[in-house]
Amino acid sequence: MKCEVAQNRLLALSDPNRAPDELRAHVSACAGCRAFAAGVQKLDVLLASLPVPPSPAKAAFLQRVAAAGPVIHVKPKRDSAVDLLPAFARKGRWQYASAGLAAAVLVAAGWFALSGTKPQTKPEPMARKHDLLNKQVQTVASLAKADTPPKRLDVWSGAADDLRAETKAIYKIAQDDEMKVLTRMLQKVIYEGLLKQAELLPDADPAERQRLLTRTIAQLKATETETAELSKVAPPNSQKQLIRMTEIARDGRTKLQTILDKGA
Amino acid sequence: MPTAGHPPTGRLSWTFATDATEPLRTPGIAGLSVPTDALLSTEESEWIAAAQAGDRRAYGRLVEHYWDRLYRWLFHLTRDRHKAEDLAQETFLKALAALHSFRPGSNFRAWLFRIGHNNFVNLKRSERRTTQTLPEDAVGPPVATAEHTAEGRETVQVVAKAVADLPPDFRSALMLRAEQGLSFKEVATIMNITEETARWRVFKARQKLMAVLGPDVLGMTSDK
Amino acid sequence: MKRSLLTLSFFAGLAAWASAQSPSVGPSPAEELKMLKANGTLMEDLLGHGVRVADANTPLDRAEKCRDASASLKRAIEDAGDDPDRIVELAEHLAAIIRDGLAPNLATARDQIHPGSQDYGRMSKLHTEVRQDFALYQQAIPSDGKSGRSSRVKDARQKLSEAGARVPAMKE
Repeated sequence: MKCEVAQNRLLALSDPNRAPDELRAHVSACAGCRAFAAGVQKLDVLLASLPVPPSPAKAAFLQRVAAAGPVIHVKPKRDSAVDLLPAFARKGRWQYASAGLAAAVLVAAGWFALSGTKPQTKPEPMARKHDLLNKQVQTVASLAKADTPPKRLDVWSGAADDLRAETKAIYKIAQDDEMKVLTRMLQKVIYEGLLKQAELLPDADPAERQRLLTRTIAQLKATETETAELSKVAPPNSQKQLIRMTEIARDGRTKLQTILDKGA
Repeated sequence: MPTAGHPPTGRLSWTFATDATEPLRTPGIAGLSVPTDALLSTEESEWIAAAQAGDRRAYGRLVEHYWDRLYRWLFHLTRDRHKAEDLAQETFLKALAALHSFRPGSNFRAWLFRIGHNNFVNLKRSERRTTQTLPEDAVGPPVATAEHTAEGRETVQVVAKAVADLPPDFRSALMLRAEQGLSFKEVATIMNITEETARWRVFKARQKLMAVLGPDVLGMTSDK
Repeated sequence: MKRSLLTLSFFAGLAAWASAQSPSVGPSPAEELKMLKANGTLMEDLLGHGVRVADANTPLDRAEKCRDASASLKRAIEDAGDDPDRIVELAEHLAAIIRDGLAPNLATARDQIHPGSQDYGRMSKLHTEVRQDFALYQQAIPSDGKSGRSSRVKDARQKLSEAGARVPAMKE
């Protein structure tokens, strides 16, 4: 057996410590391949020992599981749940669209189970209107009217402030997954909204450009400061997302500063 | 079960195993006695059956048992603690909702990791649509122990970087095999590929790492 | 002195807090959280639509993206079942998107795009689809049950019709 062949076979083994007789015979007789084999063994050991950061989310998740009561109430509908078993038999990949929709149903069903109540497909009746939803609708309508980057930047800044207010309203009682909704929205507002429009600000009026960017930077700074302060006093369930929101605001502010400095 | 890995302690054989009957080493759990596969399998089957019957504590046992493994693998895939935790959580939620569809007696670990893999794929797809994201977490520093030397820590960091540089599909297959100890067949099930492709990906990943890390890191001495 | 300063700062804080709230008594954190949970997905959808509207380069593009946003709200109305409060809220939002977003942009597009131009066919198609949408929007709002009997739902339906009336007719 040639050394190259032997070494390739070593690399393809399920377990580098276990080899067929023929391969073992060559390795035993060949110093180079013996050294190579030892290297492959050591590699697998090193891979198994790579450090990862500890995961505080595990304890929180297990707490949620325990707090939800002893009985799981999920009653998934046959027509809406994805039966994962046939997926193993299929060779092709899932259709992304249907998997995404079914996945959303599964995650929702999972949360309903953890909440300890029967699954709900419709929101509970409420007489009070949701101010943040109203503001989001206004954001879309305002963006439809805004035909320049400065105007759009203004709208997006307002949207970020709206999310900051909502965060402050609920952080004391919200769970991580509920806060995560706000984190995602803030991320979208800053990265896909604010920063994009900031890049498009016209150079023709440098003073106006500077004024707009400086103002937006100050607004993000306010978000960053507030979420940082809240994270210090927040209960554990919302702390992680508050820290994330602080990071997002800080990163957005830093990038805006870079845009501002580039034009200076 | 530790979430931060440790280099193996105790007796370590660098000589090539000559005894084909030597039992498979279980990677990823250094210095701990691990229940035999048979015992774990029996307990796990009981937990699954109980969870399918509506026992939430049994589901909690499954979470307790699999979280660290799943999270470790997802961290290697995402290189981001937050994303890995989010994916782990999403995976367990989807598993809970789909528990009724799991066939008792079949491979629960592969089933669970398959859900995790699909969630990771969905995440990558949605990230491609996002223009900017935060920088990924750096690899966490190894836990300081008496066995660690400065050299050992450096080796770990070098290996971690080389693994992180692998394309995700290769990294995924490699870590399922090397860290999780799964068979090529299980890797194939999880990643929705053929067993041959699973084997090839692990082969290519190891080949790349052997070339990148070289004799200095892997302690190979060649008298060729 | 210290006490009066504390009292002052307390009221100053209260005033600042109050000014940040809506004029009427605001929701409690629990109510706010309930609404966030109910509307989280819809709001994320709407933000996504907002991004696409902002990225649109022309009034016709913006009108198309507003139509997509309207579709999300229509789906939310369908999911509301027989809940008059929710239907009213969502129908009013749908009306706002049509009235303030879709209709004005389609009107501008109509003024700018002439027959024979590249975008004329696309604009005609959008116009037809928007008209068809209104039938679907009206169908989404229940006409029987508790919601069907509700005068507020009927008012919301009327607002939706008025918003639809703002969609301009195509030039011959």
